Amino acid sequence: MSTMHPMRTRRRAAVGAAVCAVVASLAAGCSSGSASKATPITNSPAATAPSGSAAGTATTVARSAGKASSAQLAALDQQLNDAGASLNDTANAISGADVNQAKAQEGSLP
Amino acid sequence: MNTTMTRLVAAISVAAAALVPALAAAPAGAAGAACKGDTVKPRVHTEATRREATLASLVANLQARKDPYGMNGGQITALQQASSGISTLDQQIQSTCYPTLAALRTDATKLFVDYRVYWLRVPQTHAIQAADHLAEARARLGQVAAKLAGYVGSNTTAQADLAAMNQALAAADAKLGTPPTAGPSIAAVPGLLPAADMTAQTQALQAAHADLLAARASLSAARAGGAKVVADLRG
Repeated sequence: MSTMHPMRTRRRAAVGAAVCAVVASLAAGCSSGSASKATPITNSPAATAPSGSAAGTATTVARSAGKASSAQLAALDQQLNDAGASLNDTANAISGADVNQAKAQEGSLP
Repeated sequence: MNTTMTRLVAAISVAAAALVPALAAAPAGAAGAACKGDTVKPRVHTEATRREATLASLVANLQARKDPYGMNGGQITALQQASSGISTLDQQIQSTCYPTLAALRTDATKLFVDYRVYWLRVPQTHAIQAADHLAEARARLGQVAAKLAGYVGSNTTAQADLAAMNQALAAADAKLGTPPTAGPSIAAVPGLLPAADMTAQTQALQAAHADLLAARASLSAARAGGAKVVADLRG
């Protein structure tokens, strides 16, 4: 029966702990589906990756979680407000595009 | 003075009397009784200036836009050419001594009929500008819908509201088109030209106006749908 040097034993234990930490970290990253990961998936090419690929699987997992942070929802609110401002800008232009109103300004010679 | 000389003097006097009014009327543009319609000219000039200011404003508005449908450049050229033509016509009218009021009217009528600044160019340019604004709103709402698709998950209420939002966006696309291709009625607008009979142009502008209104209503509905989805996700 062989005996192991105490120093080597401690080193092996340290390496083992580090590997476990990395594995745990990776597992958490894949399965948590946290809201903070939804945005980059939606906006990145991964969102359109072919199904079955690693990226496509990640997208599916994130979407099935269906959660968005309050910050992300607030950002969407802002985008909706911006769209509303564009629509308000449109009101004047559309009003000006009314030919029945515009032609009345043509006038004529006295 | 003998009889012959007396007759000669009389004849010269008659000829001179006939010549004086003719000479007075000869210089074109001179303030004489022969130039007609001088009281109308200031009005013509005012109308020309008003049109030039309107056209300059339309050009400035279009130049500030993004031009998603590629319609702005040609329209800006048309507006600038109209302004140049009106300026030339105005100068011609102001400097011409018209022998009759009818002659002045013939030229002045061109200001109204040949350019159709208000009947055609104003609504035409505004329609192009409105489509430009609507395309911008459509792009923003499309981005929101794409992000929401990643968030709804198994929330059935959010799914239904998002479906309604996407349906409204599709309805807007049907009228507005998808950049760089505008919808049929809007795509027809830049090609409209001034004419004496404006029946066809009026109908085309009315069709585009109706589609712009419909697209705006659809985009407003899509925006409201997006707000609902966000509320669903908060709830």
